[in-house]
Amino acid sequence: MTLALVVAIPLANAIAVAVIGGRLGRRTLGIVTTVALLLSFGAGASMIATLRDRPTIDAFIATWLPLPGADLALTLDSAMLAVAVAISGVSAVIALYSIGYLASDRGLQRYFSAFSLLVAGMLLVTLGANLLLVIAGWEIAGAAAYLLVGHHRAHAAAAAAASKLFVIDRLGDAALVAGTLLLLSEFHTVDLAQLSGVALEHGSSVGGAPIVASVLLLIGALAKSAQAPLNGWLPDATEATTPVSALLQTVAVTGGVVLLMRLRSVLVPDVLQAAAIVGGVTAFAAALVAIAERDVRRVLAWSTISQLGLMFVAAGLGALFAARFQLIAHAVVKAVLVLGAGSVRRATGDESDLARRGGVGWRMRWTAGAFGVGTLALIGIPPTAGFFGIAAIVSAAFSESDALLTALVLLAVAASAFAGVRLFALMFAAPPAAVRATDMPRRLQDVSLVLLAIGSLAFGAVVSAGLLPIGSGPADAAPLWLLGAIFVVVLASSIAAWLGYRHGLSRAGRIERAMGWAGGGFGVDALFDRATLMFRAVARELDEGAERVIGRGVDGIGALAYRASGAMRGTSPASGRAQQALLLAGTVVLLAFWTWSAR
Amino acid sequence: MVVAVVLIPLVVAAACALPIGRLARPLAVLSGLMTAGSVAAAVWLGIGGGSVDLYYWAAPLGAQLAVGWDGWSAIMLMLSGALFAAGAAASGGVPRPRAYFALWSLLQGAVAGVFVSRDLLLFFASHEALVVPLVLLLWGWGGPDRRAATRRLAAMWLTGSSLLLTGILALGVGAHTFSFAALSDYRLAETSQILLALLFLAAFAMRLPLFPFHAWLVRAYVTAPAPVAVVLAGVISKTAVYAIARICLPLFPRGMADLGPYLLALATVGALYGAILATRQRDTRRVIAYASLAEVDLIAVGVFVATPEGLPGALIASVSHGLLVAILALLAAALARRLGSFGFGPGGLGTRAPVLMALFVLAILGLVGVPGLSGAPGQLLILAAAFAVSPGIGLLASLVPIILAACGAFLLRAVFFGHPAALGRDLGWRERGLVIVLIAIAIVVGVVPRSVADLADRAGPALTELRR
Repeated sequence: MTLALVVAIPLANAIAVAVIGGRLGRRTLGIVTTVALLLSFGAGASMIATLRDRPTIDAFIATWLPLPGADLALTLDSAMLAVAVAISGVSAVIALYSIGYLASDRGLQRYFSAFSLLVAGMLLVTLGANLLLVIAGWEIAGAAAYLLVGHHRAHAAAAAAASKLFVIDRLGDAALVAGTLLLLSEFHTVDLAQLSGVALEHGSSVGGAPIVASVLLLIGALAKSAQAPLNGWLPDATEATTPVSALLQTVAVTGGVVLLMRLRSVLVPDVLQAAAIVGGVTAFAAALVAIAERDVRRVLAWSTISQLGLMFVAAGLGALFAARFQLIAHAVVKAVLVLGAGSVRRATGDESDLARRGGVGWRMRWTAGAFGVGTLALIGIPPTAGFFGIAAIVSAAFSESDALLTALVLLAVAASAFAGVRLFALMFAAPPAAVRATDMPRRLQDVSLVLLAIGSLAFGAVVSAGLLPIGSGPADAAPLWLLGAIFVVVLASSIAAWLGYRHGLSRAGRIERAMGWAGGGFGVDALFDRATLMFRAVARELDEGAERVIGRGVDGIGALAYRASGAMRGTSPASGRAQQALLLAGTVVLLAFWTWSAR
Repeated sequence: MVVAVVLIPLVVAAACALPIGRLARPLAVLSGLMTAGSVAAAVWLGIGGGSVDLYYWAAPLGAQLAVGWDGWSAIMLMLSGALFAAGAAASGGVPRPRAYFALWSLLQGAVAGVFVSRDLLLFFASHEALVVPLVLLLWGWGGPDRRAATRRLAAMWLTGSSLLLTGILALGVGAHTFSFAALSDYRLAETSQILLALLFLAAFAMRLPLFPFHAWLVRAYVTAPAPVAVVLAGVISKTAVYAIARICLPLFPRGMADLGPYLLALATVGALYGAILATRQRDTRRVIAYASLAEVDLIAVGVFVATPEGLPGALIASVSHGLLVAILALLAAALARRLGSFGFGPGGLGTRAPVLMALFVLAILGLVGVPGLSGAPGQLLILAAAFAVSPGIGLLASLVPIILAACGAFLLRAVFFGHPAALGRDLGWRERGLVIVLIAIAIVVGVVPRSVADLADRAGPALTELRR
């Protein structure tokens, strides 16, 4: 019952805000939503104790679709509990931040309704007991993300980003649906527990359908978690207002990783291996793009893509603890960074181009402090949460003795540290920028930032102390020299970035020129545009070819019949005979048919 | 009980001959609501239904006036009642109201007749009787292109009908009966089944429309006044779905199985084709028309597969498509009243008309199959059925929702996003109320899709029994 509440409370809040939210004040809307999300967080946290005694909690609510296993039912194990709690916790803090940040916004009813809906959808992805319910949550979250990114309707770039997000999201959905239905036709169930059982029974001898299904499911996960080549939507989506961006980058994008973790024993091993490699390549490449980007928001988005790549590596290798830990740690950390960057951006006149503005130093001390902590956690300086996560992933790759992946992950970690420190230096240490006193962050914004900063500092310790039972992983068993090596790589990279960028972008021309080739994401986004163009060409061909032929064909046949009947009527003496002949012929045919069919 | 479903609209049509003036519209709304309400109540209480033989009207031929409903037709009667009521409610201020509502009610009665007929000749009579008021409504109240559009529609439909009549006579005279019940025990040779199935399908494919028999569709949707478009897209296309499921499948099981692969291919291609062409349109009605083609062909996939997933899927999707396409047609008309045309306009309407935008977004999300609205369950069931029969068909069919999503996102972006428009007020309460009621039904169907399937099972033989 408590389990159902975890999803039901945000969902009920979304509906209630949509229906009667117009009568509530702006502040009340935000407070109600925050409280609802906190309640969901509390409901989740209250089950920690229960899960110490038994492996899973199941909640059956109702039957849903007449397909085997497709009921409205939730299931929870300790692994997913941590993720669910993180989702509702982080989104509660982001909602709190929104109250301050969007205090003068006029569409808060829509905003908070879609906000809760997105959280409910992601919780369903995390807790749904069968794949169709996971898909339902997935699509609901996607639709809510569409609404949130398009929140400011007059903002053309945001509208374009919303459309792109929606299309790529639906592409992922369709792949996911196709994969699920293939599994259904093969194994006759969509229930996740049963599917895992069946897949394990089959062992390594898999036929064609499970391979195709696994590939399709992987495509769905790649689209949702913005992995190459389906990553273009996330940097564009940063055009949305700051808290939306934060929600997308911390909660919404985790869907793909959650899916991979949940399908761990269903997917074919080769496909999992492919997921790890795609993740490794994406992690490294996206971190390079983050170094070359000049827009604060896009730097953070590319950094998110890179971090998700690391999670894909972990999930693909089966290092579920590492993936889970990194997922939660990253959600907290990235929330600090995106929200902090939003506060700074607003205070400096909505300028997000790093080249055209300087640092704000300690004039925004709470923001700067929180952002600093967040940066340390992102790049993985001990004892922040990031270090534990990165160490777990590196040692997972290392213990598989997969040299390629280990190298990719280490390179990604180094590049990501460089990008993180570069961003911090440019935002806070670079020569001062003008700050508008009127747009300084409100108290709620600072409170949320500090909460998240504490979270990113303490999360590692919380897990180590066993307060949040998400298991333990390979990092505990990693050799000390490996941990030392990670630390040295991160530190060297960070110092290099600090030395290069502390005087601002104008003094770092050489690095910028050297990194110019990575700007814009290696042209992967152009693939999307090219595919769109190709699709349009096909549509035009069909419209001007096939559609016209069909129309003319029908009209031609009609005209022919009209003319034929006219011709028949014209030859009056013969026409009577022709009609009789036709009637006779028809009768003969019918009679022949009856005698023949009544055999 | 069953007869009332046909009689009520006919009485309203007759009443329109009297000088009732303003009363015509409320009466038409009422007759729609009464149809839907009485069928729902009767099914719920478990009365009515069943086949009733009224009268042998052509005894030597074995034809009789037999009426009754089963699960599928009961659901369709409710949908039809609801949409006819909604359409009548949205027909405020039409010119020549008495003639309009008389034809409207005749159309409603004929459609109800299609769903309650339990005799092939009666079915044919209703099936053709609905063409007359429809054509007159298009011809008399349509837009600028009405002549050509109506001519094309009539030519195509009547061609199909003549083939259907040939098929019905060939089957019925040979079997000495036209009753559904008796015919479903009558076994034909396989070749005859294929031949007859083709004759029957010719008519139903035109009505559906199945690709490539859709040439009438876009022109008719575009020219039709909004309420007529609502019932044309929402209900009349469903008569074809119903007929294929209720007549072709049980009467020609072998024939349909032999034709299955070709029909499936046509339906899948049609669904993709409609979705792709929908992305090319820059007129809301044309977008709806092509999207509708995609959806009905997807429904046809479910019927042609005819598995225990496919048929309930097709039924639920029929209900969903009827509701959503009605909502979209009403909203497109509301949009056109604000913009002065059915084009996408200058954009930026969302700021001025948030409610219109919210409802439009909901309808499009439903159409592309986002769960929580009615589109998802039917689509999922149909796709599941398609995958079970052939993964290739399933993969192709699952592209349809992506393309529709791209199309919907484009439409929303063009109409509602952007610099705030100077024109356009938000929806008034009357426009709003109607759409909200329909969306509420769509949400119920989406959240509890079993309600439709259960109701259908209550009313008659289980859906899976349609194919023996």
